[in-house]
Amino acid sequence: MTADLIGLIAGTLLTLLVLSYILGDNPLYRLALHLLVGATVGYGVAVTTVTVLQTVLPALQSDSPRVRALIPLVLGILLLFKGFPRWSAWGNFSTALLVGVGAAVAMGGALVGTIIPQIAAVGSLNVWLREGSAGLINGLIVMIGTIGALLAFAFAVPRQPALRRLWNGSVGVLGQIGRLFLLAALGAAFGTALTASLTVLVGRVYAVVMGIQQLLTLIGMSSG
Amino acid sequence: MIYCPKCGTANRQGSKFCNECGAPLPATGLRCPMCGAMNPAGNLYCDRCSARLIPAERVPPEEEKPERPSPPKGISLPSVPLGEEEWLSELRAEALDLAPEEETPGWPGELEAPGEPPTPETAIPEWLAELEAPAAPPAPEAAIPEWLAELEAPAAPPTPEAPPPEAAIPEWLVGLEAPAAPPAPEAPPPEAAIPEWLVGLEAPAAPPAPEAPPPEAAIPEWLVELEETVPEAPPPAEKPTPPLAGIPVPPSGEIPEWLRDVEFAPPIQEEPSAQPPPVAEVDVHAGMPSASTTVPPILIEGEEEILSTAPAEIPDWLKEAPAEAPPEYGGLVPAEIPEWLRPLQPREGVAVEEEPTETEGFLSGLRGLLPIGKGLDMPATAQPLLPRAPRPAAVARAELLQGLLSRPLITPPTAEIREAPRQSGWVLTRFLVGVILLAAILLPMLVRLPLFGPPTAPTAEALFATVNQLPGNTPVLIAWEYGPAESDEMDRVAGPLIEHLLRREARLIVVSTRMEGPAAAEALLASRLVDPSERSRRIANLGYLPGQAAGVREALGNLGGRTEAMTGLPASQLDIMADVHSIADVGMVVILAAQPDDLKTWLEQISVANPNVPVVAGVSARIELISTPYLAAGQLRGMVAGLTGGAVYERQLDTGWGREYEYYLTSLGMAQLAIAALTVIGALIFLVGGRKR
Repeated sequence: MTADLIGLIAGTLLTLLVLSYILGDNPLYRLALHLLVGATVGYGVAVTTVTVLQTVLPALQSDSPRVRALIPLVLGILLLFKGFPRWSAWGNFSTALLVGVGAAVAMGGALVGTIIPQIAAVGSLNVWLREGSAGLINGLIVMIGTIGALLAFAFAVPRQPALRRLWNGSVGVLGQIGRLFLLAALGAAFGTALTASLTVLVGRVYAVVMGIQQLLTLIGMSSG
Repeated sequence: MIYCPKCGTANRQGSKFCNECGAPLPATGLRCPMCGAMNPAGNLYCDRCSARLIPAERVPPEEEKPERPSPPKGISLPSVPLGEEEWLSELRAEALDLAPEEETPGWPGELEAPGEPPTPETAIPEWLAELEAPAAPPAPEAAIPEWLAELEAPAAPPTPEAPPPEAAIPEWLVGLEAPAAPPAPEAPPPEAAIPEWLVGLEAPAAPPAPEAPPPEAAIPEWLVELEETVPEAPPPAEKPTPPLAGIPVPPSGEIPEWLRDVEFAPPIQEEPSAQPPPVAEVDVHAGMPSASTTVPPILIEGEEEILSTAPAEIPDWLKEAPAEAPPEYGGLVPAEIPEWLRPLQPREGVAVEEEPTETEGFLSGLRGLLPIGKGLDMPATAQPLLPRAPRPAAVARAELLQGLLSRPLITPPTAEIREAPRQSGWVLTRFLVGVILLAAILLPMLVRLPLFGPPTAPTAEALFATVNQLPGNTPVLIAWEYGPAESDEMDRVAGPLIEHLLRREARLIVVSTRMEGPAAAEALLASRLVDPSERSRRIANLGYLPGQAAGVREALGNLGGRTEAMTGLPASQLDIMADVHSIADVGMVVILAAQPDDLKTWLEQISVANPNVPVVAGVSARIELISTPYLAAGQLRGMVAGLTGGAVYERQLDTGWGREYEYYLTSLGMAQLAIAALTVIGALIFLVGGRKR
């Protein structure tokens, strides 16, 4: 019996345990759930430990400046104090460094990699015209949908009656259109999420069928 | 303290019923109807808002006051925290000892000099004997209180002799003397030693006495009238009983001068047979302490008049005077009671209210020293200022509060929530949905259903074209951002792309910000790699990148500094990584992501590190919508999304439609149809019957 076969059988059994949730919460489903959570945590701890040790220990033993390894090592040790309320303050510097550096990197990337390119892509009339009438219509739809979706969250109205009527006639109409775009976007997002989930379900059912077929072959009840 | 009007027991402040007899206790405070503040009894106006506490029309007239219920019998003074003076303590102690034994009132008993033993056996005390001695010089007029002098005036000519020194006057007598003491330039009485309560008593009876004033000048008009009515009051036939009998008298050396004129009669237990003259009924000692004590008549030497300082000791003649003809006493006819004195005359059948006895402070044991607060008993007869019946809204709120308080504690209905899905309807519904989905998925395995045509995915075709343009042996960085949970979908997306890259002789460098990513990558790479011996030459799994965006940024700049996850060798020692040190050395980046954040993180950091490197993606159907804008903006050169995109890419590889992809697509389509049918059926059921419920 190979490891692949053991894995296939174990996967089949665990899949059946999880699918037993169709009948409601039951101990079999709980067993599979606990196994999944425990295996995930254990695997994560192992991977993290090995990765850190593989990164830090060679650096400490090499001829390169050890300060590059010592600083992360010290910061990591200080971060362990966060687990003890009495000495958790010792980990504040490490936490601040992690949060600050992470936020700075994420913000820089979002600005350069998402915001600016997306604004440039949506607002480029040349792009729309280059693609002909279809591109122009698509661009108009994108523009109206973007503006309408933004105005859909405008809940304040002017106090003056005249401005209020003007507001309701323009912003209100665009907001309603934006709500339609939001509904369509949310519906599409739900559809894609459902499609992904059904794909996973199909794959699990396929794996169960293959596993049962392998088991039948193993015990000689099937020719494969 | 609240004193019971029935039994006089002292009760705790705020008590409503007497602890001794159970009788209801009167209220000692008035609540303002406007602001609700509590005011002391007797206030007509609120101390806080000046609102009238008692309606003007409800203030009973003077005639009705006797009909009101009896007021509380005591007004307690606040306890004096300071140390009581010694002489007062001794006086009180002795008064308490003497009071039950004799009928004499308390305060005369307190007149005993401190330290002097009582002399009850002697009929006339020594000092009284000295007073009676003829050798005693007559008291000068200046030493006689004015009020006494006024009474004495008709028969007592002033004596010009200088008064004796007053240094020996005890403090307690100074207080009595002071009201009548004229401003003598020599040896003024030491007023500093006079207690406050005696000073107050002293004030009203201490008019400034002129030097040797004529007796007539000091007599008020009303007394003049009385005096005219009784011009010459003969002394009574018999001396009245000296009330000071048995009271120890201070030694003569301490007797003030004005008292030396007073004759203390020997103790005689007989009642005086003669009526006192009407003049004695004039209450000239209105300011004196009108305690329940029976103030003894004081005999002034040379005069036979009896002075009574106790209003309560109104002689019987005053009570009987209106009823019968006044008897004559030695040719003296009692005068009629003046009009202004008639209100003071006790009425027939009306019991004289007994003054309350003080129980606290240094006045403890004395009676009638302080007037009862005006209006103290007003709440007993006044109309209730507040409505008796509470408002309905207040009653409703009170009932609601009471109901809430009496309600048992509500436990979180967690058990009920858990039990709800176990209802047969829910279990049946869930089971039916599950069976329908499983049947829709399994049916294509049993029966080939040509329901769906070949899928189309332009983005996958664009990606295929991009990969086809890669030169051979190009290092390709693969961000493997999915794990076993998404591998059923993502393996069908990533598999054709990885196989295509391997066909193009690309060097695959795998990294992941997810801990399970490297393992998932290794499983798929092993399945797609035709010759496992070529793995070290074609694949480098650099493993897990901790630190999210920061880790990605660091890895993009230092790919050569990492370690191969499977072999543990440094990347710099791998042949595949010989010329790859950073993102600048990579020919293409492939992002395999099942979550939107992973795709965005890699796209953004690559845009910062090396925006010129071509980036393609294989994503889950879940994030296809989010990935499309990046594709439209040119940040992605191509994309494979979901099972459909994988199937199209698989077909582009000239491997044809495999049975597996046909089954997957058909089963997915059937499951989608089943979900749509179930949604429509559920909506119809809700519209028909569910909404009514």
